[in-house]
Amino acid sequence: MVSDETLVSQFQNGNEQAFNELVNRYREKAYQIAYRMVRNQDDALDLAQDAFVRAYKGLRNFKGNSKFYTWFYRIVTNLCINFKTRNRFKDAVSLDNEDVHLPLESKTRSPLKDVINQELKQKIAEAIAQLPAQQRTVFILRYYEGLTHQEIANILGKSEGGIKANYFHAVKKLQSLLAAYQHGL
Amino acid sequence: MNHISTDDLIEFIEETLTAERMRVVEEHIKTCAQCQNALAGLKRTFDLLALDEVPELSPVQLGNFVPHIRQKVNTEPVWKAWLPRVIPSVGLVMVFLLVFTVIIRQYPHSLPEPVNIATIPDSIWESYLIDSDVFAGIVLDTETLPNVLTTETWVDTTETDELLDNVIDPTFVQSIDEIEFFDDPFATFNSYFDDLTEPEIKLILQQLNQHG
Ligand SMILES: [Zn+2]
Repeated sequence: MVSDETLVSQFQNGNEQAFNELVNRYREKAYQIAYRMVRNQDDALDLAQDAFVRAYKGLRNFKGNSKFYTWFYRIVTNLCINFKTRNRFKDAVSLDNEDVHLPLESKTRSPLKDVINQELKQKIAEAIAQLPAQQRTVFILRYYEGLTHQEIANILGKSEGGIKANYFHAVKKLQSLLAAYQHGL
Repeated sequence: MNHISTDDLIEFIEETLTAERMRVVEEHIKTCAQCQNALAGLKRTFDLLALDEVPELSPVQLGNFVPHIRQKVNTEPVWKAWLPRVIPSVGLVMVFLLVFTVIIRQYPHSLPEPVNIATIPDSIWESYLIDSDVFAGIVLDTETLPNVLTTETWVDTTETDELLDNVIDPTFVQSIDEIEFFDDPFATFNSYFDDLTEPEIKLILQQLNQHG
């Protein structure tokens, strides 16, 4: 497979198709991170695409001092944090209602269990949303995206020790927020 | 014997401790009910968190992904918005470049001195300020303006809230203690400066520059 670095330099030399390839490579990651940051599918899709728009414009100045994904994930997380900052007075913890609607066609599982699962999932989503911005970012990148503390440190421009501390705080906070649901709902 | 800290238990679950430490924790847990409980509690928390799902993108959404980005890129042709602003400043930029080249050639191993932002003519500023639907903010081209802001003067990514809250407070720069290196000033500064007016952006950069 062609490396990110090769695609970046191809794009910098005028190959537009190389940029499309970068998009296809990272679009789902960008969307997933954005979704967990803002908890709304339309907003997450917009933010993921906006991140690529900025990458498109920023790549001509990208000198490859860091990995492409490090640079790009920073754009994604910055956009999401700023999006939340702008909307913080509008809806502190707003969850997308269409994501928690009850499943209409449950074939194998009992409807009651599905309802309980949906409620539980909403509680989990709310707990993650309650984390302060930086802890939430670190937690999402570490737990859901599986990045190392060092990689996250590079993305956020922080020390590895600081990132670890953020992550431990996030886990402990989530544990206390979810304590009531440890044995199901 | 000391119990195992929650931090170590988390790293034990994720298997990120050193081999030596992994063994110590493992040994301790075998015989300590309290730490067994703590470990079990953490594992249940992780199990719960694993239930969190992201709604999948539909084939249509995936198919539209690149076209939508292309559309957003094309609705705001940057060079068109820039052109009238850039042309009058090209001469000044070239003067800057010439001066820098001389400085850099004389002192090949030293960083260029920061320029006081207050002394930069408006015409140069304007070529780097962008205001559009796609993004509002500032693009600092570090190739052509290498020492307007040195790399030491970028503020940490995660200070966004404070930065936005304190834009108008002339003392806020002194309160920021984390001035760190950024290799993507483009993205970062655009993020910071969304929704700010040009005078506010200039104020921030001037203060950062003095601080740096
Ligand atoms: Zn113990």
